[in-house]
Amino acid sequence: MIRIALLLALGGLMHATMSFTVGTVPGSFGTTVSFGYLLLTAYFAGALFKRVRLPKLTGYLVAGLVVGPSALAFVPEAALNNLAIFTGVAVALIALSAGSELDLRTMRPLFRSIGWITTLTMAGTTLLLAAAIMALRPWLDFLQKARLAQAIAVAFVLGVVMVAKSPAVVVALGKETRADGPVAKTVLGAVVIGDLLVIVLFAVASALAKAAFGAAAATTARMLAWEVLGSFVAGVCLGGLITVYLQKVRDGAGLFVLTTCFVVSEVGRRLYFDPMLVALSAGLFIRNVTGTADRLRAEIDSSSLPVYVTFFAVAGATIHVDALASSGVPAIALVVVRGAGLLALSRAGAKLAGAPEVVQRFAGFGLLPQAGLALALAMLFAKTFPEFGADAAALLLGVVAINELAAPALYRYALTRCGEAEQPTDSLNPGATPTPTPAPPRPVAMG
Amino acid sequence: MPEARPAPFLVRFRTAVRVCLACVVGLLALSPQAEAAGRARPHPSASPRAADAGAPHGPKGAAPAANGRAAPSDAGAPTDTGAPASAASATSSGDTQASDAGSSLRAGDDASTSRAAADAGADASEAETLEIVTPEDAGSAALEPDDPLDGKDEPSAHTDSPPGPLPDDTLQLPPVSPDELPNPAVTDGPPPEAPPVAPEERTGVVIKTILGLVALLALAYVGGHPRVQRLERTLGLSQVITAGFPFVALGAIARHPAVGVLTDPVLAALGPLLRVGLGWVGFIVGFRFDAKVVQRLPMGLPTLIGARVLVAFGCIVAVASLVLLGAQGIRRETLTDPVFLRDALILGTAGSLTALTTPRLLRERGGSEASVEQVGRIVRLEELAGIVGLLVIAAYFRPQGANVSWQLPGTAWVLLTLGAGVGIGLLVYAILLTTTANQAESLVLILGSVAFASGFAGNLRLSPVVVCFMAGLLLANFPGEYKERLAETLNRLERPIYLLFLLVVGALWRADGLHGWVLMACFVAARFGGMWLGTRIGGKAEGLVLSDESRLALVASPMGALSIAIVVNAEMLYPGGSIAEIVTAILAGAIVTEVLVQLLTRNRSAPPHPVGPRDTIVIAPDSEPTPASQAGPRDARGGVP
Repeated sequence: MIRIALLLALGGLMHATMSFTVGTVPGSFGTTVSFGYLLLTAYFAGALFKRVRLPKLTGYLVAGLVVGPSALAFVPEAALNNLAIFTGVAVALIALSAGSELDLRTMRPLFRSIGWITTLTMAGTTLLLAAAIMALRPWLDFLQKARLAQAIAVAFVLGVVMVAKSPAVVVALGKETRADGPVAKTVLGAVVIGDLLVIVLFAVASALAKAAFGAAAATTARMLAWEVLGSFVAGVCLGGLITVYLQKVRDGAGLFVLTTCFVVSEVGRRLYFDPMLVALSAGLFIRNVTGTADRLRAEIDSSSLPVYVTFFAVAGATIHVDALASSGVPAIALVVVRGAGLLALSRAGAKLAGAPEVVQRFAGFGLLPQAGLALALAMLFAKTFPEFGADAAALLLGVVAINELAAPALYRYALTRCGEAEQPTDSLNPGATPTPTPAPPRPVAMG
Repeated sequence: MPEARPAPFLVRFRTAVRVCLACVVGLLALSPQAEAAGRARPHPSASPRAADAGAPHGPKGAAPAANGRAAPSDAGAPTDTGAPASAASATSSGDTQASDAGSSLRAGDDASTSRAAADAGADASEAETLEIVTPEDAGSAALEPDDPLDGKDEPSAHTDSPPGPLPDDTLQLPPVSPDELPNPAVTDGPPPEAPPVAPEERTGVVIKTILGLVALLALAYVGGHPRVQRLERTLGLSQVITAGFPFVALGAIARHPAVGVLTDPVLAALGPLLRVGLGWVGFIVGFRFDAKVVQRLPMGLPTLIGARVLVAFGCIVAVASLVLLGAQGIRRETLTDPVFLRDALILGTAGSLTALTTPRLLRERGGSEASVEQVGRIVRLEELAGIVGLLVIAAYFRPQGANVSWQLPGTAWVLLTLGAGVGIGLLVYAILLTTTANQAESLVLILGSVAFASGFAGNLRLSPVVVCFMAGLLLANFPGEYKERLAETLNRLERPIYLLFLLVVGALWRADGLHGWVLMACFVAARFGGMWLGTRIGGKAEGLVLSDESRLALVASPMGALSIAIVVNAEMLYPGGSIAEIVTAILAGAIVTEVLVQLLTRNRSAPPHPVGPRDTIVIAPDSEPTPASQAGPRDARGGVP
């Protein structure tokens, strides 16, 4: 009750603050107050959601959605745009954290499962989604105008974008529930590798689709190759730099990591690198080539909660309810196809790999959430195909919105059901416990 | 992208929620501002259209162009916006409405409100019925494609002259001339989009970026090396390093076009960080201020503090006035120019403060614990004087322009600032009291609270430092179990946030004007002179026992974070114009003072304090005020100096 009263009081103050705002576009102070308001509101919403046994993360997303431009509009669109620099840093930090958790040595027994699950879900679900989009063609204006070959190419690109997953949600929920075990590890591996593949596939598919529309496919392919390979190489260089810092310099590692994430986000974006790919590669390099990953995780984890809260609250605020309203039925249909495809194919993949029963039953739920990458690809799609990208992006945003809100709760449920989540969970933050020390990997009986 | 027009059910939902919230903010509605807001709403757009109608106009443009700077040709061009008839009629109705209400608010703002609301169609009409027109409703109208004024044309705070008369006790500042461009992060506008790097330049940028990071790494390594630290002490630079000033240099380097990391668009996007940093400094100063420090003050101490503050302030204001007069020419009008007065007062306020590292320096020189405690208490009380000074400057020297909505008497602004600080402090107190947050959650709560308080203050053009100080002061002096974890959180984040703040400050620093450096030299000299004279006069107070080492520490004392926060706050309140020289004077003055203090006291130093953990806030519940001697390492080594 007190939390609700505090939320109302904050809302009242924010409402009053908005009446002070001068200028049609909120400036830095408008952004600052929006940032503070989002942080506090999302925190309380997370606590409320926790009480009803839903993920805190969903609370952050819902808080963002409610106070964002789609509903109450206490946080205006312009303020969200101004916060992009912070969410960019957050994405890089989260990706660095995700990469640094992927210990390929300890995950070796899981490779077979991850490989099968990733292959089947990526290929199968992409094709399923593309087929569903073609089936929905009469209801999708932007596809009606295209020739059949063009429509197939676009449907394939859309399928690739829709199959994107969310390492951020998986990492955040893993921390919130302190889940550890074959399901959590398999999901993390499948999600990270799956998203790397999505980035590559998107590059290839959109080059082909551009070619179908008569554009210079070679140029597009070259650009996207730069993005993928360049990001990977830059990530390895960055990982090396962070390692040297962690080994040679005693103080200020947190600030250095933050600076590098800032550089990755800002300079990387201007260079057409994918910040998430750069940071993931850096994290993977640090975890698997150097011995400094635990220190890096400790540096990141000590201040990670505000990053997660801000990132997910802003992600919630950018959910386009309007887009959902305009493309609701096809979006819901595609969400169902995507969910069914991922669940069924991950189960089939796990079975083929001889994974334990829990992995077969529950790993698919971890593939459902979507967030940053899917949103970014939706925007990129709109830019890549300006002729009809806006309409298609609306559909994509609708799909992402539904998955963003519903899927974390499903994955949390799966982690609880498979017995890998600690009960009762305390919080998303690692600050509730002493600095995390690397737990010895649980023995995983994998084929 | 699809047209972002909210669905009707959303409009109704929003309206219903706003009505509910209007009840929640009933308390606020009792305040004169909120009451007035209901009658003659301050308006966003106060807009270009309404304000331009009568104002010779500057630089819409200060609206940064791609590089964050306005094109001079734009800036100088007079604009005739050709306000449509609907706007004109709305203006008149707005005037009538406001005058009927007898409000002291600027009525002209209503024009744009009404016009924008009309444009916003059904959505805004519905809101209008409830007399709640939100900026984004109006804003969306103002940003419609057929609107000749899009968001980029939004005038900055420093541009337009005010359309309405001002209350008698508020000093009116003239609009800043168009060619005096403010820094990108201090202007209150949307950040421009950073341009992508051209394909042929990409490899070079990648190499440059990696080299930049390698250089940063090398600096960190070299800076932490024991030999280098010994050298720093020998050269008298260790305190300069500890105070974080290398980050100012790093910021300036990162801003350099050849490096190209902190470009104008990036700096504009980092504006919120600067504001959070300002609020953070104010919050920390407030949270450190135990009200018991003013109780049972030893005899003579108030006299000493008063003398030091007043004499140092007077000396700096006098000397700065001479320099400023020299630059502008000694004319009668200059003496009554509010900008001239404002600048002198900012210099005086910032200069009369002393860094919290002063007690540590005294301890390093072998000062007794009693002396350290006494000096620590003096420094804290002087900080209070600095906050009061900033409060007065921000209240009585209100920034003018289209982006400033309300015109209230200066005294009302003082009360409003205090009220905002207390109100937000109480809210944060309720949050902390009712939440059993661990340290990481405390971090979210404090960061969110400080950002909220700072942004809230900034939206009203109040000082974020003062508002956050008030909030921190309340939290420090109200009872509660939260203090220890709050102190831990503040200690953990204090230095990183302050260093990032300095980094942005360094990037924004325009140190190219010779006048600023001349002012700096005079400022430093006047400050030392004022401190010496004030300490000498105040030291004679009856009953006061002040040791020689305490006197030396008080005279040869560095400037602290609050001084820098004051000038940055001033730059945000009054962007553009002469403020850049004041920034140079205070920022460079702070660095020079640190070096001079080290040099002046080098021979008196005890064995140097090893580089260790930063200072920490220590909460001493139900005890005497936390004196410097008992405050643990905080006063022994500076987190925020």
